[in-house]
Amino acid sequence: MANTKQVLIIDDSSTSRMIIQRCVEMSAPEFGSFALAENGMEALAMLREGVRYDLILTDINMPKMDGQTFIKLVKNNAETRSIPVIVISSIADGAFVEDLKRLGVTAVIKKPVSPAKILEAFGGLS
Amino acid sequence: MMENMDSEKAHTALVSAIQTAMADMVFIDTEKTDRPITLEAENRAAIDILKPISLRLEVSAGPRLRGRIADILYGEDSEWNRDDAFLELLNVSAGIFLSEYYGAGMEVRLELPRYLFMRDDEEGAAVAEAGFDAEGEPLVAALRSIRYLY
Repeated sequence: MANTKQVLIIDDSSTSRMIIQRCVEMSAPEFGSFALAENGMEALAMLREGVRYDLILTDINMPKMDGQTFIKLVKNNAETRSIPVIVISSIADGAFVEDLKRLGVTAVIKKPVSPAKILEAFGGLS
Repeated sequence: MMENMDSEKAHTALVSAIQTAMADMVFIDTEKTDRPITLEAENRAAIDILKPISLRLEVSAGPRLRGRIADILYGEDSEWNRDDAFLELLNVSAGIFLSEYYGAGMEVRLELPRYLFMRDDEEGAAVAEAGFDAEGEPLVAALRSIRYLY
């Protein structure tokens, strides 16, 4: 499979962004292009530049704009609402996951992230 | 809300959170130790939990351990990598602690992890503390009350 798909990774920790990218590279080689943002506000600016991302992986607890606000804005925008969003967060339990699913999130991964967790979550992508 | 906290259960969850985060993120075997730990030039990082309880998780480790964590994750140690990797480890530890202590289904709110640079007067009472031997390097974790801060 050609590694042409683009993924946008959003996390305020550079360590977390790096780990997530490595896990995706190991478990989903079809994603060959990575864009990185430190928070929801920076990610929104990147989306407005017109690049068509195939997937968004986002943290929740971030400065400037948190993940929930970012997801609401993405899912309320006709141009971006079809992009699958997967949350990767240190909090990923029970009601919180249900709330995120109601916002349109495809899957929620609890940190620490691993290639196996990525593979399982990506199984829900159409 | 602190008075409802089971300190023994909190201690067990704290130990498990640190050991799991260290093993899963950086593959470092971290054993609990009862030996007194002295950290020279320690770096103390903290993350405040705002819901379902007001609590601070603090983790302290010396420069050698933080450097090793950065080296494992990045393949090289630098001050930036060292600082960021340690905060992310703390963030992950807090998530594991909350899952271990409360189970699923609780509404959780966390502040962003940060460094504490001084032994200042904002420290609350310790709910649980644990010392660790991280493959020869010392590490200390504590849960403290922050009720009066917010």
